[in-house]
Amino acid sequence: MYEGPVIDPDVHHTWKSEDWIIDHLSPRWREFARASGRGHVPLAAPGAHWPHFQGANKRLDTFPADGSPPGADYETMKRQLLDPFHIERAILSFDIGTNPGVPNADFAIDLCRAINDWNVEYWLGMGDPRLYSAIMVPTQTPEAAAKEIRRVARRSSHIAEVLLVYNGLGKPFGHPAYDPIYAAAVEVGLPIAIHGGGEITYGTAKPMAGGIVNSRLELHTLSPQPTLHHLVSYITHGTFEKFPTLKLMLIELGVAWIPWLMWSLDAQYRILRAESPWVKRLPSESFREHVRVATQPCEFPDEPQRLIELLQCFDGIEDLLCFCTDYAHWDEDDPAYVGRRFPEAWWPKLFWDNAAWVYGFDRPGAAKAG
Amino acid sequence: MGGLLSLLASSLLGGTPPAQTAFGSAFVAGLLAGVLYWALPSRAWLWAWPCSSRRRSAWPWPSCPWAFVPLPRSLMFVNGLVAPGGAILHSQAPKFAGGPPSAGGPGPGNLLAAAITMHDLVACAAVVPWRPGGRPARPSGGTRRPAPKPMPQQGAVGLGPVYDGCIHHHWKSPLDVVAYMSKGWQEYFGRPGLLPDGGGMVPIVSGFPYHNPFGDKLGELDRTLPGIARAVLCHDAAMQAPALPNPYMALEVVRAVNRWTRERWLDQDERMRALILAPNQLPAEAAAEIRDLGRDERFAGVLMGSNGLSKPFGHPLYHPIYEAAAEMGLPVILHTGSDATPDVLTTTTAGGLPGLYSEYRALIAQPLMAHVVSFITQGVFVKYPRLRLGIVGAGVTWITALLWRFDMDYKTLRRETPWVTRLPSEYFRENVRVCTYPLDLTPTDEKLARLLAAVGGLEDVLYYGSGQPNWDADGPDAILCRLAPAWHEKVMYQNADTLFSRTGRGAATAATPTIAVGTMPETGGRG
Repeated sequence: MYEGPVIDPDVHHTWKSEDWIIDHLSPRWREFARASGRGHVPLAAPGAHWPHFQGANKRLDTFPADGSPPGADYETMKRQLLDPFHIERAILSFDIGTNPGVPNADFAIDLCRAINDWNVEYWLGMGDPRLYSAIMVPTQTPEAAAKEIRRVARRSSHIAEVLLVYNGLGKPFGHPAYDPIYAAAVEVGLPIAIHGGGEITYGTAKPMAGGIVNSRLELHTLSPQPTLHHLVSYITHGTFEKFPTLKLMLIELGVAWIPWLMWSLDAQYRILRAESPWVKRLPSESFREHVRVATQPCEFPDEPQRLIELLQCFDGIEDLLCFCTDYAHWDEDDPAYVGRRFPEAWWPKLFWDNAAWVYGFDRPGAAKAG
Repeated sequence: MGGLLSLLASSLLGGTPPAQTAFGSAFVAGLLAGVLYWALPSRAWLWAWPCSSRRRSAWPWPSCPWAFVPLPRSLMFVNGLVAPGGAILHSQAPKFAGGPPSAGGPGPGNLLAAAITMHDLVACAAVVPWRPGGRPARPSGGTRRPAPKPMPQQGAVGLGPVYDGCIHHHWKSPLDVVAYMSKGWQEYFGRPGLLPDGGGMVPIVSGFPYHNPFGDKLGELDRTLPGIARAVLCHDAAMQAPALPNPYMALEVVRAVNRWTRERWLDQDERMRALILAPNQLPAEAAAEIRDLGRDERFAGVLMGSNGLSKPFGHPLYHPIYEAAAEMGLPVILHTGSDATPDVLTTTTAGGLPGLYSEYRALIAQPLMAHVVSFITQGVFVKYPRLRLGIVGAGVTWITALLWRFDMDYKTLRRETPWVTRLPSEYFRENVRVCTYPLDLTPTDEKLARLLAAVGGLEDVLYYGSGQPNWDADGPDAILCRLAPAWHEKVMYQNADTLFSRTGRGAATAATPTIAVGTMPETGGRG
């Protein structure tokens, strides 16, 4: 069993009451949000209706006793996640961060600002050194998103990443329209994290190719598809060439796709070079250099060794995978479950080193040079 | 040869022969290489390369670092002229200056000429990249793959009969197909030349948005099918017809395509089998078409083609088609491209549309994965347990990741679809077959074998299809080289033969599932 420190790049946190966010809105939008007098306008666009059994996509034991949503209560999170699993760094990344998808683009900008302010003040102001978090950005308006990144990054040293979930323009994230976001991220030295699931929300690209499927099982089986396209588009549109220091963390799409997708991209190398002025290297080289993949939900077949055999086909895979839990979702992975299925030699990289490279963390207790 | 030419060149140019021989050889060779490289189509290099008949997996990384020096052919030609030109000028320079001959000393002009010539030579040599093992490889993806060499005759050592599960047949002129339509539709579609600019005919299928910049086709389909015991006609652009916006036009085009296929192809060669194109936008009419044409034993399957109702193919709307297919003992075939035309509401990738052909191509399996998941989850195989599904055009490496994730999710999310009573991978292995075309390129053949072995049992799932005459077609040798010999008999013949023979006819609808598709029985809270 791995005894060392763990980085968890995928922890879902939220607010206990939407009033907390509305109070952080600017006066103009606060008035708008409460204009109806009964309740308030929703703080996120609706998602397509692929319901979970009994409507909960969370572990049932993660509901805090005070009736707030899972992930909203620090004490519960501390008791269930941070303490027992030796999580030294938890990257709080909202639940799941589709709020920039509200149809009104100007409202989305102020909403992201309010959420980021609340996040910095409440969660990062709590004083727990293990808590890091993400910047939520209004992806419908990349220039405003860039401004928000520059603003929030200055507010706290515990901002760890720029989170992309809602695909505001309905284009794969490598599309040049999104470049201002990457320019800002590189400027402030933050990695980009893409969390799957944003395409389920109203008003963006489709969550799967081939048509709207009919059940949650189908949706979830196919849910890596949009993120895989985002990854491919970063390479075909040269995002890593334009921003050579950009780092990318892919969250919640499992790992078994790596060999087939990377090889099928590599196989298009000559076509790629003809079509894209940006592609200078094999796609798998760019991938190895810029991208890390969070493992959850890890596709273990009945014989888990088979997954390892598959992954080992892809050279250097142990340098690419980062453990994550996906707390408090129903399909959460725990370090023991994942750890005992991966080779022991991979553990230090899997649980710490690879993610630490993305976020620029030092190993706790390690003697600092000088 | 080079020496002779250089002697010739130096005698023409004058000067001292020994001093100029070296430069002469260099620039003449440079000239030859430049002209050849410029003049010959890129494919010609493959034919010239001595060992290309046994094609191995091509892999794009250059074993020689110059292999991808991006030199346009026109520039090579210019270089081919400049290099000897530079040498000529230099060797003649003393004459113009009136000074003594330089005796071939390494002046700046000579160096420039030699450098350009060497560059040409190296870049030309690198047109055919080779791997460290010294084995020649096909140039990567974009290069048109050479048309498969004629197969050794059947009965040759180690080679049995070949069942080609996918060739793409196409019309020479759309009028060939229009001829099988009613008079009214013939009049509607018109003919070329009715307008002064040569127009005047309505296209019978819509356009396709993504194209290989190096060309989509190797040429015309070779109808002689060298070395092939059986071949299945899988249609080409015709497969876009079922989703045409006008449903009656779609029906007429599809019916005409099927009859054109029967008379102009099946009647011409007894080795051929064909897929019935289903006008899937009108499932009742599609079922009637299948029952009608299915009586002809030479129709070996049903091709769904473009997604006419813009729903995943497992959606209950489509089930009448599968019922008819099951009744006739025909497999249902899905081919890539079903979700890429402007006529469908579905998208060809998730997360936005691809901007590049290579982007489209890398994600080509996405819609087919959705359709397979939909088939299994929406209970098509529960309703029609002997129905078989063939997947064509997306290669094979996606299978592993999909099956593992599908099984994993099934264990936790099956409550919504209680009629799915077995692991999805079990339905897959029993009912789904995957065409090798186009067999995925991998860094080494051994890696392909390891990837396929990880999920296991695929020797019973894969069947060979060449995909001719598309640019990424695989000759039988391309498969034989890359798959284990123990798989050859199954993959090259048996699996396709079982898939396309009418084994399950009639028995298909007999099974009564434990839980009827579409019902939601109480489970007593067991989830």
